[in-house]
Formats: sequence, C-alpha cells, structure tokens
Amino acid sequence: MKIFRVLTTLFFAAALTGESLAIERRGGTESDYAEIQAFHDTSIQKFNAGDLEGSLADYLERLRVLHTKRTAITGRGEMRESWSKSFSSTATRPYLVSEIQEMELQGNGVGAWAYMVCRYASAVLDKTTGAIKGEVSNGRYIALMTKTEQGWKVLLDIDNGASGAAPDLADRLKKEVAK
Amino acid sequence: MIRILIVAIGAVLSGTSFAETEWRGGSPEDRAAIAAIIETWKQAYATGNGQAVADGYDPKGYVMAEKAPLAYGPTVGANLKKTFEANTIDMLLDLKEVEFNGTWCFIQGTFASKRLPKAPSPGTEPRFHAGFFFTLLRKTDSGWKVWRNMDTSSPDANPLLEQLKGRG
Repeated sequence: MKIFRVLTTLFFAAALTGESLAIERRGGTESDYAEIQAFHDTSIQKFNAGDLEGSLADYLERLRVLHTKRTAITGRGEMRESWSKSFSSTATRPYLVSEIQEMELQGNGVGAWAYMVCRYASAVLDKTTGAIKGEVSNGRYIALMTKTEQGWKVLLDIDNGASGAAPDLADRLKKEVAK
Repeated sequence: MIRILIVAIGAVLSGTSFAETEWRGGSPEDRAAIAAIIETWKQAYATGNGQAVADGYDPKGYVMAEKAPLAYGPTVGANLKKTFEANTIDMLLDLKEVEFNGTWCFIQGTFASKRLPKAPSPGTEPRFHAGFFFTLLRKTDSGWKVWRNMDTSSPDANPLLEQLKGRG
C-alpha cells in the first residue's frame, strides 16, 4: 500500500510538472539502452566542462548540426570553429541540461543507427560568478547516431524551441547553477 | 498550429528537385519510393489535400514543430484540412540529403513557406517561415512512413525565402 501511495504521488507530481517518468525505448537490449544513456550523460558532462575535443569526438567526422536560428554546421572542422568560440571565451560559458524522452535502435553492432529525442534547457553563464546571462531557453532535439568501433557517434542533430517542451528543465538549470 | 501543418507537409513542395540531393544507401526501389512520397506530398499540397499528406505518416509518427506542441500522425490530416480551408500556402524545399540504413531513412534540407488567409482582412501581409527540416522514415508493411519530423528556423533557408517572395 505504501508503494502504491509513493507511485501515485510520483505519477501526479510528474503530471503536474510535465516530466515523464519513463523513457520510451525500442529496438535494442537493456545493454544498448544503458550504453546510449551513458553516451548522452557523458556528452552533456563534457559539454558543460568546456571539453571541446571530447565533445567533438562524440560526433562523426561527417556530422551535421542544425541549431535553431543558426547556419548549418557540417563536419568536425566547422564544428571546432563554431564551438571553440563559445568554449574559449574568458567571460562566459554555455551550460546545458538534457533529458532523454525516447530512444530507438535500428540494427546492432557497428553500423547500427539509433536516435534520441531529448528535452533540453540551455543558458550562457558568467565564467566568474556562475550567474546566468540572458534568457534560459528550452526545447527539444533529435540526435541521430551511428555505432562505430569507438562507440556511438552523432551523425546529425537538430533542435528547436518547441513550445512548453521543457520548462521544468529550465527550472532545474537555474537551481543547478545557483548551487 | 500552422507551423505544425507546415512541418507536417515537410517535403510537400512545389519546385522540388533531386538534382543536388545527396543519396546514400537504399535500393533503387527504396530511393524511388522516397521520391514518390515527396511527389505525392507535392501534389497533395498543390491541391490542398491534407489527408494525402497525413497518409504518409505512421499512426505513431509525430511532428515536433518549432514553438508548437507535438502532433501525432492521425491529427496531421485534420490539422492540414483546417489550414488548407482557411489559407493558401506556398512552399519550397531544397532536399539536401537522403540516407538509408536498413528499415530507416532520413531526409534533411531547407524549406520556406508563405501563408496567406483565403479571406484576408485589408492590409493582411503573408506570413513566412523558413529553416531546416529533418524527417526520419521507417519502412513498414505499408511502405515508407514518416516516424519523426522536426523543423527549426535558419538563415540557411533565406535563398528559398527570397525565391518564394519573388513569386508574388
């Protein structure tokens, strides 16, 4: 009965905040899903740590990144040029909070494809004070990935500021940076 | 809502050309099937047939349009029907690439759309929207169907936008 009450509370809390309790997963094994979750989590950690080379290594050489309101980034060279400006700034740094909503695999082993649909919140932080500069944006992105000998790599990602997609993550971001 | 419809249309564009599209993988039949889907949507769009566009969706497929809530396949036709009833929409697409892997295929490129109410108030200006689109399709027993679809604003679509504005 106690478990039921806990689950009920969690369900209604999730309904109120808009958060999902479970990630939709299809086409793979528990091991595949864990691998993709770990790939996602470490990618975000590397990004927030300003690890440019580590972040670039998460993408295929022939990557495409379609950021909202920006021109397309094609290939690691363009990505290095684009991201190094943000990562090397002495005044600010980007910060991202992301949560997988759905993942699905096609095939297995090297050459397999998978995609993640994620919700995100992002902001630019003052490097000295850690304070948020400007607005916190939120939305969704899809990352299409392929499995290589070196693990999963992003082939293409696209994001947009989908309406009401992740206000809870925007709140989470504010709390995280306030710590 | 309009944006949902526009993205749902995806490749439904007049003037679509495959001449500069990069194709990877897929059998000749698969490639022909994708080209046929785009042609079907193009015709559906030109004639205001929202259901034909929606028929290209998997029932569990959905659209993640910019600044709009999710829209699942079954609602796409109804949404389009309302839009086509109230508006004239002109759209252009530049299909950059099509890539296959087993039963999946993605297409991506840029689009520009122009929407004008059929009964405009005096001074009503057309609304334009332009950017990237990404569509993931899956091969099913009923052929290739749209599974996930997302668009986002980008200046990369400005050439299409200018082309659209030049149409008058």
